[in-house]
Amino acid sequence: MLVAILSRLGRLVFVMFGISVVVFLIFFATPGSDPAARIAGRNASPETLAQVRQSFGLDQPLPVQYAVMMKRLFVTQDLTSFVNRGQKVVPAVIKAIPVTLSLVLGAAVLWVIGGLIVGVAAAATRGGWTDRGLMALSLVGVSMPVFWVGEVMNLLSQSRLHHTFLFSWVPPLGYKPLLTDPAGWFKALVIPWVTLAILYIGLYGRILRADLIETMQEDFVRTARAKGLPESRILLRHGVRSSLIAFVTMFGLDFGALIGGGALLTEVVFGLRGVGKLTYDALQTLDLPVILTTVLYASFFVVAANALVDALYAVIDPRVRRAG
Amino acid sequence: MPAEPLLQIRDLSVAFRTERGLVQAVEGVSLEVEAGRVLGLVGESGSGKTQTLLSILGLILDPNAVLSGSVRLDGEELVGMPNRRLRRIRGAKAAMIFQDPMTALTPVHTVGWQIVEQIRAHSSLSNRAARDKAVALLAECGIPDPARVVERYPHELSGGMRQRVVIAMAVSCEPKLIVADEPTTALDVTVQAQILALLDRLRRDHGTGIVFVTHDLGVVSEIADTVAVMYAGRIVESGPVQALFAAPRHPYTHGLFNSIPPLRGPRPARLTGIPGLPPSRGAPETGCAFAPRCAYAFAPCAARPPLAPEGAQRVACFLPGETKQGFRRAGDLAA
Amino acid sequence: MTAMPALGPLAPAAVAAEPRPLVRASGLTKRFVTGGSWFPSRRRVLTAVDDVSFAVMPGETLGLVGESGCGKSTLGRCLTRLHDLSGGRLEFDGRDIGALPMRQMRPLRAELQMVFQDPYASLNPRRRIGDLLAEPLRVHRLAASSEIEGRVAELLASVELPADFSRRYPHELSGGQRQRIGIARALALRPKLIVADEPVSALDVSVQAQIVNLFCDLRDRFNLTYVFIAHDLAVVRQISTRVAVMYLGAIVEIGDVDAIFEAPRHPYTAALLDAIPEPHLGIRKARGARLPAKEPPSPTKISAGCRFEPRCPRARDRCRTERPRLEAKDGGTLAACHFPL
Repeated sequence: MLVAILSRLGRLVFVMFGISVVVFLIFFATPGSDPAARIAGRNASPETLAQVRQSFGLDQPLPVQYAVMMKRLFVTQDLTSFVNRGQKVVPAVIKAIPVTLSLVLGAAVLWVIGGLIVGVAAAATRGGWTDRGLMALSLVGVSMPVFWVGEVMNLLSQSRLHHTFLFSWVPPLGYKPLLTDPAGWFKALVIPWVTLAILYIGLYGRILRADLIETMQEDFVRTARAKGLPESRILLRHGVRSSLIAFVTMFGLDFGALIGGGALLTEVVFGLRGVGKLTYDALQTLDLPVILTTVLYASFFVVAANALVDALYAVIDPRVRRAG
Repeated sequence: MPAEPLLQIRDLSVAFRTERGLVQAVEGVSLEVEAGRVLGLVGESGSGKTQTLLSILGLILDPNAVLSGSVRLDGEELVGMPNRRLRRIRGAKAAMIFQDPMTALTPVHTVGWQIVEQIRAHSSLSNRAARDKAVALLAECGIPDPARVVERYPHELSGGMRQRVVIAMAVSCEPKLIVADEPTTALDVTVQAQILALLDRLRRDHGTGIVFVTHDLGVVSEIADTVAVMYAGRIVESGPVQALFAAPRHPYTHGLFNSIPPLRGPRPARLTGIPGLPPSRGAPETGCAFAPRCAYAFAPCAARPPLAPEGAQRVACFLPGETKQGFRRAGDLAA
Repeated sequence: MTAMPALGPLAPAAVAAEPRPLVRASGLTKRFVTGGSWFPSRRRVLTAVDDVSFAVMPGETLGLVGESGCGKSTLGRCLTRLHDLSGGRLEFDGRDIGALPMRQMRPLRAELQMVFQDPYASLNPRRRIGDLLAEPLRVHRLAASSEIEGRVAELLASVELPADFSRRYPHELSGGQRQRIGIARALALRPKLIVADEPVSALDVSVQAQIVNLFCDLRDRFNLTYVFIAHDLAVVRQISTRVAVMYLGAIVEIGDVDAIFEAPRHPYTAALLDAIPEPHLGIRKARGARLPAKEPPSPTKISAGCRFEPRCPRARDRCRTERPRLEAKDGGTLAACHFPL
């Protein structure tokens, strides 16, 4: 078991290293362009360019450049943005992480629970009205763009219905730290959570329904029926757990991507200064050091979430355990 | 003779509504199983033997299935019984064993968990007591080191061991009837021999009645007391194994025997077999379903032959008695 | 039956008059390595076929029997080089093909065909039977395009199907008809050897008899040689001239079909024969008594002694330490057993 975990961690570090090299090469070794000019931003003065070259070691061979870059990212953490003069990149990203984590974790809880309920209820009533209703609703959920849902939510909760009992509790847009103001944190995030989760509830509900219906045709389900078990128990104890592989796989991909900045639209709409918003701003000003940092950070979460999913497979399905 | 056998099926029919109209999968099947006895239900694919079996426990869940007739278990009518009450019979009074032990157990739970689940669904035993019982059952079914095996997942066991687990689960609530759908077909012959011996011991020790579906006449001779041969959804011949094996009277039964290469004695240059193909979908509207493949077919076969008593058997065939006498299998009685 | 075919280098040089075997395997071995791509210590080696030697004479049918996992299918795939060999020599028609690269194997494929249990899996569902049968003819350029139609009809006739089947799709056929197509496809290239892997085990009894008959007819008509792999011993007895019994990757007994079925020398062969239920009265055998109800031993860890020793009712100390070699026993069969029956 320990060996399996260690080998997994080893692979994780290896993949991270690979990604960092690829990202680095894309940013610093693209032929035909001067990385210094891109790091310095638009209309940079010759002095700034020289300063950039010097501080990133751009006059030295590529492996040295890579080492300098990694050192400034992870060891000294003094990577500096030249577009927003003097802004330290790493602290800015670290400050944005709790916001994104809060948003995505809360939404993930909602969409996993919601997806399970929708999927199981639809599969249990297959062909019936509940099933058809849920599938229609989930299709609506999947088709509505997140930013549009967010704007409508804002319109209702911040202005149109803000004075009714429904939404009077909603605080102004923005993030409240969990540790200093737990109630404010919760209130500020409820509507972003729901907004972000709607799409995924629809998606995950549909996936689970399809897999569950397939599982319910399996021989072992027939065995469970022949044992005289109630249909609800067959569905929940024999069906659902055997149908979660696709669900969990998708979750790993989506969760990693969202934490890594994929929740950009939601963050922008609700004025949350998370990693997505940071990337968004950096893209608008072509702030290379920030983009590089957030891309690396995002890839870390995608890889980590996948490792988590692999561990979850083993929990869900004993057949995976021995394969290691 | 007891007033009523353990299982009594009368005029059972199963049909499926399809785009091409009603397809008759099982038609007018009547069977009986006494306590402690084994009925071998023989047929090829599409003969309706599995549907007959599933309908005993009300396990045909297709909403397009139309069921009629009567299935009485221990004096209780099962056809038309509400699902809630049927559930209390399934797994308790009547248990089922399926063909493929590789897929018949839920992969994500230990085998102990699955046996305990069944025991507790039908009794008020504590978790602990049910677990002890599961271990005892596994031991009775010939599993070495049962206390360890209860903790194992199905994929960690071989096919033969899994089938023993399935059987242990089936007998966990001391059922009066076991219905088994080709329980040894997916197993190797040496393992099959062990499983047949196990089933034989269980029925002798507990007086369980068994309906044993198979396509293998060898297995029938091994385990069954009575046999019913199905073709295209109907029973074409039934009777005690002794009589039917010594002298099959239906040309189809005769053909089945002739299709099996012998394991001893001279080898025939060619197997006689049966020409043509089994009908793919249900029985024809009129006439004998076997007539198109039958070497003896004659004019009367355009009508449907009734299953009529003939010697110790019941046969659905219009052929004159002396022709059928000719199907007597030479050499068998000597062996 | 003439003298036993030579067994690779172990046997004395063949008698001058004896014809050359069509297939000669000596020390044939196939290993599968699983896991441990990072940690060699966790690598597991499964020796599916372990040092197997035998020969098949032209016109002969060698039945290959054994229980699931004994390596009979793997051996069949090694013979047709669908698997690469891990060791040993394989001769086909006098040529050493054991290490032949795939490119040089290709022309030989025509002479070495395989028939599988489920032909449906190998038949492209979107193509008509006629196209499927014409394909090998085109690939191997065995017929001019004007002749192909006639050749396809001929092939269908040889497996007793009407010519209009060439317009049908695989899903319109029954299991037996599909198997006939599978056989016709193998016949298309006029092979010398057909390796048939459980070709009748998925079929109904009555249809099975028809296909067994067909195999026999085709053998006589086209001078075919078969390696016939099956777990059903009755079918193997019907069709084979010689039989090889496999257990955990090795041949434990090989010999003339009647000798093996009447007087098996290896305890495993005897147990196998004893376990088969026969559709006859009065042959209820003392079942289950012979082999203990143990988990079958794993092919990844085989004892140094006799493979069958852990389950063998006749095992003695010698069987635990010394592996028996496949040797001639009186009665004409070769058996790998220290204490044959």
